[in-house]
Amino acid sequence: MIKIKNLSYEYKANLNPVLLDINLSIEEGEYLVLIGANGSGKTTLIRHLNALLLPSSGDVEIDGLNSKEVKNHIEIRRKVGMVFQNPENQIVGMSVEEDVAFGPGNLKLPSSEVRRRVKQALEMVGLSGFEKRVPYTLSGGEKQLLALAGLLSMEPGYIILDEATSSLDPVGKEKVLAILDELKNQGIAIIHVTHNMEEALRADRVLLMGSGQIIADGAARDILMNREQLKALGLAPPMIVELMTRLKPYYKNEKSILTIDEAVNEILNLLQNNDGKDRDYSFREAESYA
Amino acid sequence: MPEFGQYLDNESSVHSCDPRVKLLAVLAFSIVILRLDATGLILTTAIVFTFSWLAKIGIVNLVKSTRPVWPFFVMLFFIYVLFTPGTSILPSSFGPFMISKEGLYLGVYQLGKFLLLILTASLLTMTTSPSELTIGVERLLRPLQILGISSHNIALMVSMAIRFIPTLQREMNNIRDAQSARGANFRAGSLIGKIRSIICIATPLTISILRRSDELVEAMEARGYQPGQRTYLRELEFTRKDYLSLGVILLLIAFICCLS
Repeated sequence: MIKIKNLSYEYKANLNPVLLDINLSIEEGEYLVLIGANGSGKTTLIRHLNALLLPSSGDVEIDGLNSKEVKNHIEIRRKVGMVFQNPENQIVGMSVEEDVAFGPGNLKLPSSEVRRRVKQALEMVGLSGFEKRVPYTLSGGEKQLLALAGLLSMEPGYIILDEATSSLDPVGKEKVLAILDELKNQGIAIIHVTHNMEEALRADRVLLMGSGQIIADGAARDILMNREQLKALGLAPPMIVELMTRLKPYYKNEKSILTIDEAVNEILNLLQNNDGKDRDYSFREAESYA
Repeated sequence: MPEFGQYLDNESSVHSCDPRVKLLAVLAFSIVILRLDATGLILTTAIVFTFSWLAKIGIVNLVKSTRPVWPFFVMLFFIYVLFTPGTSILPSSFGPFMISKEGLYLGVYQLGKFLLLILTASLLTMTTSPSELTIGVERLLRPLQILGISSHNIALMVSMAIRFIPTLQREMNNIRDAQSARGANFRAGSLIGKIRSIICIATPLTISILRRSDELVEAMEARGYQPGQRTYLRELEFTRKDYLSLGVILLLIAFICCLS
């Protein structure tokens, strides 16, 4: 379990803190999405989980290991893997297998164990057969899968993705997200920073950040349906939420509609229940996007 | 046709040889080549060609792979031919220049030496993958740890330098295209104009390299990197075949030295 107690952080003394009194715990196997506008402190927060940043005050504990103690850093980094936004800048090896072997090599594991882990990690992300390929020749999506394999070879308990899907095409993105779902099923906690609200829908839990603080922490449905709160923090609500809010005057269902499937069902119902009378489907000005 | 020094993934006894043996052999041959006479050069060329045949590269491919350095060789040859004093082979000289018998001999001899050095290095890189080379260098430099120099760090620096060449090449092309799209002309113009154009590329490229290094260091730290000791995907082990290869190479070198 990751426990954050009263975490505050400032990049330079006497400057405004970037994180302010954060308290948070993340369980094993949880799929958590972190959303917030640029400068809200998301990246600063997740860098504390991997001991890349150390708290100015407060504590960050990963499975009981306090990040303030330097001797814990290697173990913390083994437990908490991190994929960054740009895959190109996190590939170290001259070949795919060498890059995946970089992490286990840092853990000083014997070569036979390094090879076993490389094989397993490449299988998990679907890059078997790519062992000898030069990373430069991979597509953007494949590079991000390689970065993910590099973490998996360290057998982490937690994986952090810092906007790691933002530069991928839809196919590459879907592949990465499907692997994350699979990893979650295997009991690995996923902490995913994203601006994409549709991606946030996959999470068990969503954290909404603003001005270095956690503004809301709850189920994806509760957080993402709150259009006013999202807009106040400079975020666009999910397209489905926006669409169904604008259609609200024309259907009676009170339940919240968040997914494409739910929206399709509701729209089909709406069309089937049409009694033949002329309806005014034109949207009122006030309902349009702000 | 293979490019200069490009690794060719063939299955051969030369390819499967321990990279340390190949590195040591190239080092030894390079030292010897610089001290050889014409007979020794011919003999060593024959040995290098035999190894290229054993490596299934082919003599023609090996020689062709050195094409990028041919202009330099031609220049070198003419410098020796035109500037070496001696018996002129032509009835008249061309101002301060003279084509002498000694110049021609020296030109061919020095050219042979340099070409052989390049052929040997090319054969090494054509039969050894960059990662094998890095591991080989790392193992050979391990004794330097007594002096506090980490061979692991050197190997990592070498491998990352190689790894980032295509990335930076692409980055440079992107910057050049972006500057061209905004009206920069990198082909025409005066010398000062061309220098200015280079600065136009060098400045953003340097900034980009620094930014990339920052991100790379962070990614490496996140994957548990600490300078010093680490383990690898494959550990090199000297087999009986490698000892035998090293012995044969040493014998060949001794033989060449005796004849030369």
